[in-house]
Amino acid sequence: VINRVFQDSEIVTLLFTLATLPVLPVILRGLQLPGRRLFVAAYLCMAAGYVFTVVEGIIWRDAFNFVEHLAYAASGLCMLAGVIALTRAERRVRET
Amino acid sequence: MEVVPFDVVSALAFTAALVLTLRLRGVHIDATGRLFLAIAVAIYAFVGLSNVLEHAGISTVLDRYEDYAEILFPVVFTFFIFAARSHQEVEQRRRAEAVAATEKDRLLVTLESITDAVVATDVEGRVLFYNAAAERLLGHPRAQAIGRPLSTVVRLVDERTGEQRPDPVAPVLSSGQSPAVAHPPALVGEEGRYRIVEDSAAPIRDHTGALRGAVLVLRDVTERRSVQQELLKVQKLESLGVLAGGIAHDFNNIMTAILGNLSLARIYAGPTGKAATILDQAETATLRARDLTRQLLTFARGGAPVRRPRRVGPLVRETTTFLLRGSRVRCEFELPDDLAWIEADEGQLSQVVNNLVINAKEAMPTGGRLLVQGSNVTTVAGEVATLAAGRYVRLVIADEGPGMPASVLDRIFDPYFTTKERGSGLGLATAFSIIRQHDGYIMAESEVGRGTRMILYLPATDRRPEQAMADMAAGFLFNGRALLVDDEEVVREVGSNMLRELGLEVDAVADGTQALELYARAHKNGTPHEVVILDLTIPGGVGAKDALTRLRELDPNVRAVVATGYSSDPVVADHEQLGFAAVLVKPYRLEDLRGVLRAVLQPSVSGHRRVI
Repeated sequence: VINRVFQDSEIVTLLFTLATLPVLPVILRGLQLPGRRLFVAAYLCMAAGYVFTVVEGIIWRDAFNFVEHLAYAASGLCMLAGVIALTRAERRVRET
Repeated sequence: MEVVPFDVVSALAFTAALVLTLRLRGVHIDATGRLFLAIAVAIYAFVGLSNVLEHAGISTVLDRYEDYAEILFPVVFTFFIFAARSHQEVEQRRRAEAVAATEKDRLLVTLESITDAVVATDVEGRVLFYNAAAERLLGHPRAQAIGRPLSTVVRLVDERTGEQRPDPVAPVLSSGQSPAVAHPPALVGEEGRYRIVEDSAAPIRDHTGALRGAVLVLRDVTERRSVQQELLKVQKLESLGVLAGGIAHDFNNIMTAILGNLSLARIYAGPTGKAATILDQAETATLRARDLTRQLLTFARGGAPVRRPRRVGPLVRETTTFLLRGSRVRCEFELPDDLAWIEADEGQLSQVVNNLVINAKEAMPTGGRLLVQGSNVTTVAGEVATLAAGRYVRLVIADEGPGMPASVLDRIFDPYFTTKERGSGLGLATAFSIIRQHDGYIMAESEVGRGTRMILYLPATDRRPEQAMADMAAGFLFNGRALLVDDEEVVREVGSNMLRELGLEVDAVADGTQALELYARAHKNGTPHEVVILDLTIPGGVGAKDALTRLRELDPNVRAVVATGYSSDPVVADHEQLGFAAVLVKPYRLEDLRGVLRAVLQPSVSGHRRVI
């Protein structure tokens, strides 16, 4: 039943994501990377997308598919903002 | 619901992020971090693009790998964060090390810049650090000192006993405490080139409080000691001077009576005969006593120099040549013609040269060379002991005598210190005092077997002498009345006799108040005093300065002479500015008094006549 509703890769990806979630706060503690929150937000959006893509196979397929792709788009924007923040910080350092 | 726009946004955002990531330079994340970030971003740029193509109905090869790529994202992203964290830690460590290195450099530069010698040791007492001042002070190159036991590098010698002191750091290392009591200054360096140092040692502890070694600081106080000794010498001379000056003042009054009476007795006894011979001898002896008193006064600050611009070269040359005439000492002069002028009291300066040349001559009884050098120098403050910065004439009088050990050299300017059997011990003390009163400096350099060099610094001047007064002509007599003011009865008596002998009528009084009354009365009666001779200091009475002020109120044209044997008062040097026509130095002979009166009265007293 599961094989028919979910793809294997989606389950694996979700498990990987869930596995990293307890590790990330530990690594992030004390990290002073510019755009750090945006990167974390991008990752959380992506994790949410993985959850939604699994959930859409069980219930409200269209709605969860929508929020899944919305989450990916949000993740992309957060990631872009994070990289921009990193780029700007780097430029400031170079200028000084 | 159509989700294509989200996928397009996602694809574009991740692609843009990928482009920007590839342009990062690695300031905040290193190459590994950038690689992981680029992979993470690329995965979703790839997934987004794949989704868009899929929605467009284009089935591509990308679809096949999309799922695998998505699986990688969380792992790669975690690696990116981890790499960023690692990079940050590496950077923080690198910065901390850089700060530590900078701090170390700064500390090193600070320690190197300190003028005190700083030597640090480990707990075994071996030298770990040794700054440049330590190299200069202790004489060991750093390379030789590092690693050696401190006791072999720093040898402190007790200043009084000359014995080597124990290692100053050993008690600190054994007790872990700084010494409670500071050590007295010690000597370091090689024999003959000792420097006087103050030492202080302290333990070095790490942040846990564990003893890591000790630091020894040596402060060179040689110059400070020299200045202190100089000041001590000056203070000693000043206090002795007050005593000597007081004695000389009273002594001068007695001498005035003796010398004056001898002068008169010589006249009454006539130029020939036994009495004349005895009186001549008595006067000669008295004059020698007067010279001694003057020397004492000069030494005692009492001899404020009457300074006039003059050339020092001829004075030194004439005095030296005269003193060495007939001796086995050969004199060489190196006195350039352009030697600067100085403002000096000729008599006093001559006395200094006299004392120095006689010492040099006596140091070479079998003959030798005396070198007299002069040069113009400009000094900066601190260059020559207590001498102020400025232009000076530097005179060097160097002999080839046996020289002096340091123990003698240190004391040669002390009053009554002499190495001669029949020396007074006042010669160099007087020279020191005279030169100091001329705002100059005198010092001596000597080594046993290598002769002695006396070095004088006298301030140069751009002033030139005024027209010198004509020499006093001998044998003048005067008309009119004189008023003599002196608190000493014997001085009044002999002074009156001498004035009468010079043709003047005399009124003699003991203080200024009586003098004022007498002068006013005579002025009123039409028999004014042609000259008033005022004693400089009258205990409890009106002195010369005050008396002159009041006399000038009575008669602005009053001609006053100040008489003194104790000329510490600036009145003597500045007598003209204060309104005195001349200075009469006690004790004085008839000839001295005549010379002064000649200078004062000659322009206005008519009818003076030559003594036949």
